[in-house]
Amino acid sequence: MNKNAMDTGYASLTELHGGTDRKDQRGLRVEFLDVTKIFRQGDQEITAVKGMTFKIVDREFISIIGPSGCGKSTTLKLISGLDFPVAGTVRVDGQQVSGPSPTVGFMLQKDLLLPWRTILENVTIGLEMRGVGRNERTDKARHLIHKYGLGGFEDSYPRHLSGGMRQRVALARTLAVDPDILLLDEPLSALDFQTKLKMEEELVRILQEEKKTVMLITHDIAEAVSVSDRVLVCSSRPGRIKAEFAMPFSKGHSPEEARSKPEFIEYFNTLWRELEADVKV
Amino acid sequence: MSKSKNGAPKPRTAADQWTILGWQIGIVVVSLAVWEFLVAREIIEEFFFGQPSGVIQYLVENTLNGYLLVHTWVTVYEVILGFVLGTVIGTAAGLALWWSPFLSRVLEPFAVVLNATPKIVVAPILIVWFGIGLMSKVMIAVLICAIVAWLGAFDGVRSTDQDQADMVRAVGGKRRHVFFKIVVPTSLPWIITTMRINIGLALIGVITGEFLSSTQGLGYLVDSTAKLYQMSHTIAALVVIAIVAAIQFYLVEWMESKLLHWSKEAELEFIT
Repeated sequence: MNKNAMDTGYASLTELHGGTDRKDQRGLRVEFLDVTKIFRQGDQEITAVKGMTFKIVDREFISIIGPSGCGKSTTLKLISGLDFPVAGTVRVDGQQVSGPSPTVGFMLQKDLLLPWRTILENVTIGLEMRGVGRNERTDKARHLIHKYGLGGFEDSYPRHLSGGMRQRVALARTLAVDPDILLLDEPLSALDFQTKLKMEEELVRILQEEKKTVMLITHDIAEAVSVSDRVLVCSSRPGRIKAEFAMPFSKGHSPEEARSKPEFIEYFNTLWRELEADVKV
Repeated sequence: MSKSKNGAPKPRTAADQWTILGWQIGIVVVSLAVWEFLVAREIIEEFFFGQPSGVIQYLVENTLNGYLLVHTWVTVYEVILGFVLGTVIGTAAGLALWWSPFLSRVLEPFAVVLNATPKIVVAPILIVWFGIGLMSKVMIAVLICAIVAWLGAFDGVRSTDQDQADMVRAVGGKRRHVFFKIVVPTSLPWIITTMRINIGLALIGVITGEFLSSTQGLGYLVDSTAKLYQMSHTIAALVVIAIVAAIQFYLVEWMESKLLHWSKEAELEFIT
């Protein structure tokens, strides 16, 4: 499949609906069909996304890049069932989204750790609400905390942790309830560059190991190129998908290795040019 | 929230601490001595200013014969009952508004007006309604505390982070989970702050009620002795009120440190 993506070439703009044909043997997880979302702000109506369409297949890692305010975060809210479109259809596993579902988890730039809970209690919150018994949820949370290199911090409060550690706790909290599909809204963008690269590496490894389907929203073109199977480029508001590119690096390469490949820069430049058309300084 | 809020720099060593305590005791002793001396030399008149020895004598005698204890108990009882009932009712009503954004918007201007009005103006009305006994003072404290607690809890509710609420829903929480796991803890600092304000307001409300019309309590004692120009007795009653207020303050402070342990600044040094 990798080979295939390489051969067809980075610059080939795949057709929106036909583009995923070669992956059809894997099940469709997310369908976002002709979706429009309008927000009311006082007397003003703001069209965040208009007629946006894309699909995500099982275990795919897709990224959405685009200028600020192009409705990327709206997309995420619609898939997670926290908000609903005014027109169009959003389906997860063939079911129309009618509210938050255990299948879908999300992570934002803000870690959203609750300052009044310890690290352990922050990780167990989802299990707690699903009625998992105290011993069971504590065991599971301890396991995750150790796995993500936070052993010894179980009883600390979030303010004792650095930004990178806090995001790892947020990841543990998200994965504790075993969602299959993960929506990531610039989860690493608040971190300093070094930490960000390291976390990116870890995140990709963890999500691949856990066989998750991932949608990543990012501003960072290099990040999108190095971690994704596919990158969707979003137009400025009202947002729609204006281009889609297959990326060859995600399988069998760490993001770090991907960045050092000679062809990396070509993919980077293609996305850059595609974005540039929409960015007004 | 805790220690450093009063702005005083923390003493660095035990020796510093003893020096500070020494000065504090010194200030009290010297002021009392000067006061006693001025009255004894008739530079100021005992009739208007009382006399420390008279105050102490009154305090000792009336504590031993139980007279002061009865009045103190009446006031403390009214304050505690009013504070607890008012705070519980007001806080519950404020938190409940989270469930109805519509009602919140309807009630918003009332909250603003109530907040700006001196709550003590209700005292004469409540005395008309509930008589000159304990009940009218309790009701004054209840009403004042309920209004302040309601406004505080309402503010707390409105400061809830929508992203945190979304997070709870995304990991499987229902509306009640959002309420108990996000809205209530978020509002807790506001609730504690209103308790800190309320314990003082309850005492003011009760004592004002006792001033207006009563036959018992520390406010009655202050008012009735002042009208008879028994200054040493009035000042003795003031001293008792100050002691009651101080005990109340430290109780709320202690409660705050228990409830808001996670925001204790002392622990911050641990990592960063």
